[in-house]
Amino acid sequence: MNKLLIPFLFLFLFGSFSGCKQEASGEKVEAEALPLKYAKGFTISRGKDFWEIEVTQPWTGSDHIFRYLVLEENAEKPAGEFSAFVQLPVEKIILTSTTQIPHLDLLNSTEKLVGFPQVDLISSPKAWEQINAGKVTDLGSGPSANTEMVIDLNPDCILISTLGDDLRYMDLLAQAGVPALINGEYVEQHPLGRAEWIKFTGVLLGKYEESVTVFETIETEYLEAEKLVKNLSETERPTVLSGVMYQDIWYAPASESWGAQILENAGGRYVFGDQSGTGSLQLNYEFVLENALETDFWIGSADFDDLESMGKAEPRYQAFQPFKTGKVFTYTLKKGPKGGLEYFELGYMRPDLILKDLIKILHPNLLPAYELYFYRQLDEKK
Amino acid sequence: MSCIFTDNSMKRNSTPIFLFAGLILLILGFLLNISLGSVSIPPGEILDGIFNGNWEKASREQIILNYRLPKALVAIFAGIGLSLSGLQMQTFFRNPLAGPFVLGISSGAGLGVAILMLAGSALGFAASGVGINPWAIVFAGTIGAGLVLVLVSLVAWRVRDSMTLLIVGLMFGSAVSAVVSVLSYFSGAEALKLFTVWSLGSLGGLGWTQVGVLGLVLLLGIIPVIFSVKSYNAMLMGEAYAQSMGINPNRLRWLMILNTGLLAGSITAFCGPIAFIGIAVPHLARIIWKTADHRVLFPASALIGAILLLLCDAMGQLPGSAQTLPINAVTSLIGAPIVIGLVLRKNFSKEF
Amino acid sequence: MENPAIIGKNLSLGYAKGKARKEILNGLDFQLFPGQLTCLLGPNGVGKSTLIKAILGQLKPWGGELVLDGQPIGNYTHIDLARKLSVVLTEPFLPGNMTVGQLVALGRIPHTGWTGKLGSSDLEAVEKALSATKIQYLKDERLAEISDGQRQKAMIARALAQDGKIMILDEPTAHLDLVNRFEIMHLLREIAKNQEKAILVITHDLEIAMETADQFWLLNCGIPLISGMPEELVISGQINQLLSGDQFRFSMERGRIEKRSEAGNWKLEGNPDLVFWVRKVLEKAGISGSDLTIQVEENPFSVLVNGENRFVELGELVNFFISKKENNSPAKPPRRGEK
Repeated sequence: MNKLLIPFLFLFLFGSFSGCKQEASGEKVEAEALPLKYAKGFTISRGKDFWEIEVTQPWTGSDHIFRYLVLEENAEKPAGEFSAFVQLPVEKIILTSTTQIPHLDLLNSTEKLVGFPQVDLISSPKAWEQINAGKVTDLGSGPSANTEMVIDLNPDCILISTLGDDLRYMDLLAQAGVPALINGEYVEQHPLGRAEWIKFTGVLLGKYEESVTVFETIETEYLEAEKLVKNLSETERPTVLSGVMYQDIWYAPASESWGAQILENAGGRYVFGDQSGTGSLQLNYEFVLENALETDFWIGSADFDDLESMGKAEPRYQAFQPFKTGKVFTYTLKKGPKGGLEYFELGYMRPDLILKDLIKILHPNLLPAYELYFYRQLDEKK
Repeated sequence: MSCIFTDNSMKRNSTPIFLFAGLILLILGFLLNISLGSVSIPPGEILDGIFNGNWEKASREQIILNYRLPKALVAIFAGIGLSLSGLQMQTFFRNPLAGPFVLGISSGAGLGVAILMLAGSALGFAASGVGINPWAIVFAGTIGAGLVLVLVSLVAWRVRDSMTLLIVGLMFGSAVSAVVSVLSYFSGAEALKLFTVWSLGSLGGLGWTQVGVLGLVLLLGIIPVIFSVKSYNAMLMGEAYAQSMGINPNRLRWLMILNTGLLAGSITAFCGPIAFIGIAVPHLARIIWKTADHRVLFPASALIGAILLLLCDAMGQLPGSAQTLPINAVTSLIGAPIVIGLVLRKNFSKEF
Repeated sequence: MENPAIIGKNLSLGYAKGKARKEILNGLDFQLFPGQLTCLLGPNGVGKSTLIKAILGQLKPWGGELVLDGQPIGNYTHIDLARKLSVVLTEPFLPGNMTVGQLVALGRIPHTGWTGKLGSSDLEAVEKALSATKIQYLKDERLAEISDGQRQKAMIARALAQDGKIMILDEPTAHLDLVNRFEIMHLLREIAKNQEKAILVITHDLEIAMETADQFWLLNCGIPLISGMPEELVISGQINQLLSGDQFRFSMERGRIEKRSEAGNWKLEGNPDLVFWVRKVLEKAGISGSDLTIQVEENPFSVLVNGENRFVELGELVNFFISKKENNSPAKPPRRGEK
């Protein structure tokens, strides 16, 4: 998860302005497209001794295309216009979103991380070994990584997320010779689509084959778990409420969003399934009361320690049936050393674990031996 | 009865009638407010539920008793409190554009809440920003408003000129906003979202206990207003005249500062900033009742403020849809044209 | 004579800011009597407002005594003072949608309870104030819709309704036209006489003050406060203390301030009233004198110069003398740029 809301809104506007089709010009380079199964935001093509990556949807609603060239060692740079080019091997990399940390972990490249904004958000133990060894520079806690420090670290590449405010420093970084590549994984709606972005990182690290293996393992796990609930009848699917209330507005994932889809795939009936959209819903409290007072489960209820403190913080939660029956689950089981939630870090990469967690919660008998990874049930009291 | 302002034969009749009509409108507004919402519930069922306890569904009971009723009451309380603060400030500063936001009170409350919600995230210690107790928010808001108020009062104590106080209040307001901006800039998405939601204002986020506390605070704030009606009337002619008529302007200044701080500060802390009610309502009261007498203007402003906020809230609920507009946006959309209209009136400054 | 309403004895006044003290007035002695209209005259910046502030209890005397109705001013509470003393100040901020009746009723504030509800005695006082200022007909008019003169009368009515022994007015005629100035001052005199009020008016209108005041207080830099009947001050010449410098003087004959000019060498004959104005116009035209005999005739008005030139209009007379003067003086060099 990245860091800021306002830049995101800004980018949304920006995106609608600059949304006109802008194909990267230049002559076509000889390269063979490698198929992607779920991800829709990028493509990978392989040439003789180079890779070409196109990010086709850098942020929601944009079809501006960024074309990147990744050059193998000792290779000639092919002709063509590129937004950035990376020369392998990449030994020093800067990431800007915790969701990209697992990519390094799974590809055994954690030691290549040299900088990260607000390292406290990281929960990966491997990354923390690096941090504790003083090998990762904290790039500050502003809405963008500190540009001077980035340039000073002189990384082989930096992955930036358009959720933050880093985008506007892209030109500056390019001038300084730091290849800045956009990672738009959050735009993907299919749970496995986000995980597939590991291939993007794989190419950059020169470990494409490994990344495919990692992804396929996760994919298999996911699909197998999904099979468990495929044949459940409508009545066997419990109703699920999600989200939290600030003041009198209920914030919940929209039906086509990543979170809602995993929920449906896990054999649940999402109570706001008819509220379409890909982002977050802002629902009136009344509407939620009318439609969701008697759901079976409440999954994803923010960071409360236990039901008691949750009911105290917002007394109106107490009217909901899952609150009364204690069937409230949230994703705060594992936290990093400085409180970063592992769900927000590893969740994108391991949808199989989320799916299994949800199946375990909704249909415990289908996965008797499985133990919850991200989710935990809120206790009555501390 | 013979009041200062009712010795005019035409007005002797109209003032009480208008106030009575206002009261009827308030009741109608209240009923309208509780019968409109995202979920459509027939009025018959609402009445049956409230008086006989017969609810069609458990959710209906929750909606009416624990959402719409407290929300409507908060609308009334906030409308009254903000209008009374605005009227006191406009009279005291003899400035038609004075309002609770002007002395930095609302910004102060905002700062308190921002520190609570954002500082943890911005400075990197703990706090995910979600599990914040609502009482903590109220506490932080009131402390923030009080703090700015104390600073403004220190200036007021040194500088006895109302206009200077007004300017100082504005400056404090911008300084405080700047601190809030810095905090926002450095905080995480969750915390920022929480603060953004707070700053959009909301009448429906309060449970019954909080509604009770707000009511109590309002009562506490109204009593001194009632007892200073005469002083405010004297203030219509300015501080020098008021003093020549035996009013102690210093005492009135402190009363005004504390009172508006208590009213506007606590309302802002509970509901977030709600714009324009404080500025626009006293003008509406003056125009409708055509008087400057605070014995009429105080109740009249309270009535109009409550009615206006009830209507704004009903509108903001976008009846029939699952979405809601934030109250601050609705009041601004309605209030801005009113204020512009007022300023463009030919005799605005003369009639103030 | 009655006991004075206000007595100042060796009063000194000033402002202190931090440690810096600035004395504005010292050694003031004065008495303000009921039933009299007293005018305070003096140039701008001499400390009139400071004196008024002290009398209103807003400024503590540094030295000397300031006694109001038998009690030192410091002994009064706000409300007691308000019952003794009412004011009309410059530039009031008035809500335009207040009626005259409402404004006058505000004067009852020191006398009413906490709600400000008017009792029968209050209503009586309001009516009395309205009739004393002859503005009953304006009672229901809004302040935004009446003339400046009417508004000033309403302000006086409000001060009257406050029903104190003393009324202090700060330049009540400042923005008014000539007729209204006379009306207001005569009204104040009437009120002082009929209602036994001690009225102090700060004004710069010497002529109108001369016409209406019972007492003058003259204040100027470097001299103690001079008080006395206006006529007495004229006779003793003390009235000229108002006029710093030699440029102007108070004309005893005409009762007004005039520019001091060398008495022109004129041979003017005829009705003295008419002669005065003929001389005036010639002096204003800058003609210092003439050895010609000027005969002013009335019914019909005409001026005969040296028994030969007759003028019916003053303009022609002035032109005659100007051209005569130019002929006598050496020819002027042509002005630069003229062809």
